[in-house]
Amino acid sequence: MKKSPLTFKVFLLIIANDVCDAIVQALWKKGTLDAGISDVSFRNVAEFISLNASSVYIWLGIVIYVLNFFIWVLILSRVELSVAMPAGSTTYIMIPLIAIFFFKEQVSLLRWIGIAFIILGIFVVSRSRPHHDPGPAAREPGGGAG
Amino acid sequence: MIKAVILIIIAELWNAAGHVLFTKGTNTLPDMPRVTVEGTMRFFRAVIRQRFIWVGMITLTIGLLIWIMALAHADLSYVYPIGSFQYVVILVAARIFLNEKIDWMKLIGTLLVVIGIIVIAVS
Repeated sequence: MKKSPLTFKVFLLIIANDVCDAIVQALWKKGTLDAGISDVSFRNVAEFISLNASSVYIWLGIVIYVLNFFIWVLILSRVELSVAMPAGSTTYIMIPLIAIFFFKEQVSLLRWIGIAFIILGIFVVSRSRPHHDPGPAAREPGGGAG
Repeated sequence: MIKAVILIIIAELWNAAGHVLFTKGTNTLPDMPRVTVEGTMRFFRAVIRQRFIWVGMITLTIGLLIWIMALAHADLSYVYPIGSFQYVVILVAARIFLNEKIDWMKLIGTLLVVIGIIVIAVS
């Protein structure tokens, strides 16, 4: 498929993807907080799984996570990865803000500086000429599993 | 905190393996059919029969679990940015599995991400 430059419609899709990713992470964090086990080890891993698996927040997060994957594939069918990748880095700003307002986390200046380095790094990586399109599976939506 | 970092690194490596396996599975699939009931059914049957897709999905599910464990261990504003370790994994995986060339821009960019991760990890 011929890929086009970033249109407003695709830009909106990318922002939607970022917002969804941030919501997913917040829902998972909320779920684990409610479950109440912060230190998981081999001893309590079964308990951790059963407690979290009964959390509505965790499951809602998983549903949005899967839907978000389809949005990401749709985005990559419209624009190059090098365009989608930096536009997708707004999540790195949204997440600490959510953490401050909803989870009352202390985000130090040092942590913001680290985040700035990461965003800068993502921009620099995206500026390199594509040798080969790694395809939609090369980067999953979300920071980790996410 | 160090336990969270270790969990994040394991989750990202695990996910990369999941994506490689999943892609290996989807690469063998026939082209997406036209939107007819019969065509869609045939496509889904092909998906279900492909062993690598199943293995990939199970691997990704376990990766998700490890990621949620990492989220339980530390602040959201700590775990999520460190999850950008995936860019490092992708760089290495793309070099090994997709034979991509790593140019200076990619190397410098990934290095900046690594610096960011280290700064957050010690914060």
